[in-house]
Amino acid sequence: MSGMTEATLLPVRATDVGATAFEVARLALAVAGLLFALYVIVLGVLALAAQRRHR
Amino acid sequence: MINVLVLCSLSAVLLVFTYTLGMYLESAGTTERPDGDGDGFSVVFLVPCLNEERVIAGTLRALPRGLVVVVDDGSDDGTAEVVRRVGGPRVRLFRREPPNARQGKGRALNHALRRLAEELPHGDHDRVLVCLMDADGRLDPGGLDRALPHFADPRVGAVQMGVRIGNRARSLLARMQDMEFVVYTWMFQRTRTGIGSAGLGGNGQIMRLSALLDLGDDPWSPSLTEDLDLGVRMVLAGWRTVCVPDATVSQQGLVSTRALAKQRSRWYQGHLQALRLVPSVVRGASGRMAIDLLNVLLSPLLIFVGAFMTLSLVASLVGVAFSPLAREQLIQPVPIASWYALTFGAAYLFGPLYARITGDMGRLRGLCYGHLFIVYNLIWLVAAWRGLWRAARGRRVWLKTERLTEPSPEHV
Repeated sequence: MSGMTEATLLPVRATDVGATAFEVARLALAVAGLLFALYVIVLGVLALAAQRRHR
Repeated sequence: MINVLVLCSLSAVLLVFTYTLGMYLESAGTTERPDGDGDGFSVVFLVPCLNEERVIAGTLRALPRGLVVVVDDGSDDGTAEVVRRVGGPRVRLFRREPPNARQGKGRALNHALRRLAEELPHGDHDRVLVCLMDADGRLDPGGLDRALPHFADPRVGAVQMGVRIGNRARSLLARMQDMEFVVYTWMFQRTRTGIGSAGLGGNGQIMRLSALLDLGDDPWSPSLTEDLDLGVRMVLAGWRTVCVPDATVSQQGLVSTRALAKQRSRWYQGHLQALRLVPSVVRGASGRMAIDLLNVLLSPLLIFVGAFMTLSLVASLVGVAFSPLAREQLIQPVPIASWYALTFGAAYLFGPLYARITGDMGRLRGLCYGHLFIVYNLIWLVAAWRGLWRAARGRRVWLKTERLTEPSPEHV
């Protein structure tokens, strides 16, 4: 009986691990996006500041 | 919010690819030749070394005629003895002793330049060129002849030669380093040359003495990447820096992943140190030059974008392995093709370019190397975290790259 319960639980656990992994993947992608947006903003602001100093 | 950031991330891949494609297209044109010639310049070879007894004899023998200054930064092996033995009257040995020695390559170079400036006759420093060669550097035939004419333009302060890896045929890792230098030189450096701000680095930097002296008593900074700093400061001082890809110098490639990660972590940490030049760029540059220099100085941040994208890919693979539903949805032609295009798209630029430039392989082999090159670049993720960790702990010692023993001339 207990073995059968274990067998039933395994696919559920695997699905949980899979769902968690996808959530981690999504979060990691979001952090990458945040860093890239920061990079573009900082580059843009500094380039504009350099341009203004030379006007 | 997370969805917006995920979209930012995807747009990062597309933007970086577009940037790379732009560089590729811009560099595809013919190489501009300078109007003048290289006559009337005298070249002084500056060879900094620290425990280079394995390679220094070969370096000195391979240098063409001209004064050679070897700066021994406190070697405790037989470097000085080898220099004295094989160097003729044209070779000068400047030895730095403790406690001044081993304070970084920049300080050793500044010391040598000061002594050199004292010893050279006061006169036309515009016509004296200082060629920096690491102890593993070998000038390729005709390299100097192709590089020197660029100094006929009085605005040119420095020329960076193209770097090739001499042992590229003997190791796949060395081959990847060769590809890295070729791609960097022919795609990115050529475009930066058009702006007048090509980067300086490692072997084959040729600098006008007057441009070096223009930067004050210490042209080289104490940074771990003193050459990167020098290039930026020279551009900010009003000089143009150019890269001549077909004037080449060969150097040893690393054949162990561990040594490569160590070398790249040093470069990465040096790049972080160069962030202090950002205010000077904002004050002293404008237009395309400002954007180019800022992009170079801020680029360490982009590696972390790549790091989190790689983490996302690994986590997705774990998800696919554990979730039958995800397998059903993602193991389909369209998702797989999208992932492949986003990950390996640049291989279709790098691979054929490398095959065309080297001329020793077909396009298909070049394409295979292009794919391997994408994977090879993961080394930068390791280097970046290690470099960041070292920077956070305030560790700045010079992690010198170990040389390989060279085959003796009779075995070449």
